[in-house]
Amino acid sequence: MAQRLKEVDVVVIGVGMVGSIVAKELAAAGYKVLGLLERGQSRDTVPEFQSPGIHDELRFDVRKALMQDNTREPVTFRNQRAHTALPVRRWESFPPGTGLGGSMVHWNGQTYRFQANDFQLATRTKERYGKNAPTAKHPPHYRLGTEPICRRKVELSSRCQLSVILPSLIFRMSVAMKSTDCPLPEVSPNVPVK
Amino acid sequence: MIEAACERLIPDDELGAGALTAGVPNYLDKQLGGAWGAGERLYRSGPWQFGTPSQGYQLPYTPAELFRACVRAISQQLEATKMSFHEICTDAQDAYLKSLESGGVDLDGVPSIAFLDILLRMTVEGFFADPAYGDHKDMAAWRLIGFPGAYADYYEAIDRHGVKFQREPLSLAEDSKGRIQMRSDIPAHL
Repeated sequence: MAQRLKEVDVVVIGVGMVGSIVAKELAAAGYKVLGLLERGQSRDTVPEFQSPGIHDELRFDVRKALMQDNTREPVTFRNQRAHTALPVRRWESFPPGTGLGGSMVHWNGQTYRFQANDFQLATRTKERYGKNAPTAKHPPHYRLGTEPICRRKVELSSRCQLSVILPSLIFRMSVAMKSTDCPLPEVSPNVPVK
Repeated sequence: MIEAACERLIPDDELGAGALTAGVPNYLDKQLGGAWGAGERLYRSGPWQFGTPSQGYQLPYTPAELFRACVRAISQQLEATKMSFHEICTDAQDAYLKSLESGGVDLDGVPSIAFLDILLRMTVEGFFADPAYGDHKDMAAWRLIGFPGAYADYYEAIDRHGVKFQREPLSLAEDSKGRIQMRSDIPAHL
């Protein structure tokens, strides 16, 4: 039987690394937040993620052992409406995750090299959209930030002590983000639960 | 046929062992004979039709069925030459593999590109996979690219900068006595 829970302002579905930050920020902004909906099996550091088994690249990266089982929960896929949607027979381009742990787990221990243009969001967006690129007229959270650092600098830094460089980089990026004065997206309080 | 094809896809050269020497055919044998070969994590219900390239694999065969059908079709095709794939010269082998790649060959209803794609993928997999899965003799491919394998942590190394990291490759199936416990049936789920 359905159980009616107490009303809250916001329900965060999936409280992994991203969901928990959203929940924390919303709670700090004064909203009553509930975040407990998870899917899949319970997983923990031990035994599921312990070494050396978790270092199995073939099992986890190639064969997507941490991801949803597409033979039980199949999805179909097409790029354009003119195409016929067909079943995804093996995960290739977008493997949806499952299980407790979220993207903190699904990253598979792999950190790909940054692309040079990961650090040029503003420049590239202006190049691509020209006069349609966001400007001061647009809502603040669409505005393009500055580009405080380039890939070369990051890679030079990574040869120095990462533990020293990373906090300073994160600090600088958070300053850059704050400087756009970006407010939290608006959430209407007391969304009725039907 | 498989051994000869592996040898052509990743040949032995001056840099080190290729696929055949590293034991990739053993990997293929174990994987195709196990759950993966039988279609583990492969959605096998309809609708069946050829999709766009971005829709990926859309054939109704498991990996094992695909290999069996295609190897049989290849040997029938080569019957006219009175030679098997492993008997023709390496240039002719390369030319034949290229003809499979260009997709012009029909292998008993399977487009040859589909077979070449899975053969190449699984050869590369077997070449670089942990020895737990099959063979990977002497972890030759890992030595070739300087991959250390499944070390749990780099606590001792993390603060030592500008020093070349030199450790023997470590298999995730290596016990405390340095023996590798092969487990080719590692499931593709947790």
